[in-house]
Amino acid sequence: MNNGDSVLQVENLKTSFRTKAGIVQAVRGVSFELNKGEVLGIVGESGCGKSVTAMSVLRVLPENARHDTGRILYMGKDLLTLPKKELRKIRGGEISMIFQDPMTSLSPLMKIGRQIEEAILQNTQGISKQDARKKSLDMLKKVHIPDPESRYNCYPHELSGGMRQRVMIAMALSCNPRVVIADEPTTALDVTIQKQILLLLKEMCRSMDLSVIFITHDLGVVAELCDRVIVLYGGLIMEEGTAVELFEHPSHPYTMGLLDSIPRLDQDKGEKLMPIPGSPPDLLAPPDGCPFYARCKYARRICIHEKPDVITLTESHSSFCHLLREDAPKNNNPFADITKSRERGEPENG
Amino acid sequence: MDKTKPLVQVEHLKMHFPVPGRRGVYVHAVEDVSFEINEGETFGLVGESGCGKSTVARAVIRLYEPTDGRILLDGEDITHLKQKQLKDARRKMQMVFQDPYSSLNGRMPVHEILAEPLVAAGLDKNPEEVAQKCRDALKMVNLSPDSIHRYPHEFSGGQRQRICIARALMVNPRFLICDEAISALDVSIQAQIINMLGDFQKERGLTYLFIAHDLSMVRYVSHRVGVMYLGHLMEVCESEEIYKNPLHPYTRGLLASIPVPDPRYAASHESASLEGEVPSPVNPPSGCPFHTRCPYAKDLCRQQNPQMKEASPGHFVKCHLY
Repeated sequence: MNNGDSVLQVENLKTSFRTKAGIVQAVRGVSFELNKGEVLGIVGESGCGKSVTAMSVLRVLPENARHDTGRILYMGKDLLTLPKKELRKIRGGEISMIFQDPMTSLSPLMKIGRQIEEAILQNTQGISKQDARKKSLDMLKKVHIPDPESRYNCYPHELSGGMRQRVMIAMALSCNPRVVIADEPTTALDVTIQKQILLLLKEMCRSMDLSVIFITHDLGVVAELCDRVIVLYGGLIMEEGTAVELFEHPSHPYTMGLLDSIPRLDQDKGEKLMPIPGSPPDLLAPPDGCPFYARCKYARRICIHEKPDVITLTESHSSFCHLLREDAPKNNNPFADITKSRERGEPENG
Repeated sequence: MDKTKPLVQVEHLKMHFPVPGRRGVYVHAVEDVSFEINEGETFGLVGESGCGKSTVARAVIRLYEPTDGRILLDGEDITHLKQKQLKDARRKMQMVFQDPYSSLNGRMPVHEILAEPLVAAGLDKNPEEVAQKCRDALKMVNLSPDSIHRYPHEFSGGQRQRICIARALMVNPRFLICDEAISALDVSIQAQIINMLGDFQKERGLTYLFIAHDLSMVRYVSHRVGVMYLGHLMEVCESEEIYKNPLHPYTRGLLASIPVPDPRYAASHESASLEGEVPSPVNPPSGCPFHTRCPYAKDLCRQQNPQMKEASPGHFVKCHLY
């Protein structure tokens, strides 16, 4: 992946929330790039900071949130320091968002066609109402809503969950965005509808040349849609790589644990699921070292106190784990082979 | 497993709910559903939202009184039991719900929550014994016995679901209904709960009705699986069979929709999904309920609802194709 093609760069993002109980450090130093035309998946369990990362990009977090450090660069502009007025031009226009629950993100009092029209009027300068209406109808057609002319006049409650999500997608894409942030857009839907929406998103990515940040907890969905994946845990990146690299050569104990805890349809039923013991760390007082050490079966003393540095495995694959260091002991180390082959200068995938 | 003796029998269960404000209009939530669950077996029910799987669960445990049909627990007809006898029957069957946040009373400490089933069953005569039982129950679900004085909000989602399971097992039931009991949890926590339920089954011979929309999870935990669609049971078979040899077009569509955690597979298999959406149960289609979305639908399917047939030993399917 080369830097020349990146449309969005997130550098050392730290986001925290002031709450009654104290300061919750939701995102604790996350850096990544979104390349042009790719679908970047951000996966992790609830509370790992994946949604906060995404919402930080457009600064749509609640009042008690603060961006402690970091930059988010889009077209040379830092979105975190951009004046509100200028941010508004980007938000919903060049960078748009699709949320999990279409019922709460659509206005219940407004016809869906008008809602899309409103987004178009907001973000396109000098467009006439007639043109906006035409565009809005076009979008409904594009996301395969049957009979768009009559659906244009429907209220959100008259549509099913899948149709509402299609409306959300139509709205998000109505202003020809370059970047779309999708936060668990299929989580609330049934599998057959989820499949329809995933196919639609795939089609839209191809035809509109979008760059997408796709947030999900579902590894199956990641495999289905994403080109590259970031695994988050406790507000930090654990592993980053292409989807194939991550699923075939998981190089962080957490990623391995996640993959072992889901049953596969082709799995032998005798095999027991391998859950990750314990629960995620408390982000009011996050651990100093690796956030995963308390649940990691390979943890060593160094993991408690020292945050691991990034270890580059291939051009696109990197992991934050002490066990991957060249000087890591070889016993009880799942990566003993990888580190050995790296010493000999062999590529990871043979 | 005693193959000859089913613990739970559901016969031609029908459940209709009146639509408020519209006389004579009903939601046809469950239509003519029959199945049996053997002692020590896990029976899985899958289907999309609104297919009636939770309604079946609630009717089986008699939170609803069925519109028609019979429910037998251990040979006893519990379909129309009144309050007093129902209480006795519920000592044999308990339920775990989906949302561990709303199914625990936030104002009760854990020991009160756990003691409630005992109180309801009239087994709370000796306070010391009750306290001991609560501690034992927490230990059983791998929570610290010292936490009996804590409140639900002090626990994480997975821990709360453990409390719900401990509560359900307080009266030593033989039959446990898990209605989407793991759907709200993170994957790593789901596996913890699933393994724990499996251990209980081995140790105590518990019988489960396991309801979920996640077919891969249901296949994994169940011995037999039933697939529901729009209130009808479409296919019932061994859980291996449902993956290896699915017969009903709906089951096939459902299987094809499940995202496979393998990017190479996903890239090479761009399978189409089921078209359209589930029709309204207020106005269900004539004939086979699935004909509006079925790629193989013919005239017969639009006119006549197929009967359940045994396509191969132990494999039942409700489709005109077989």
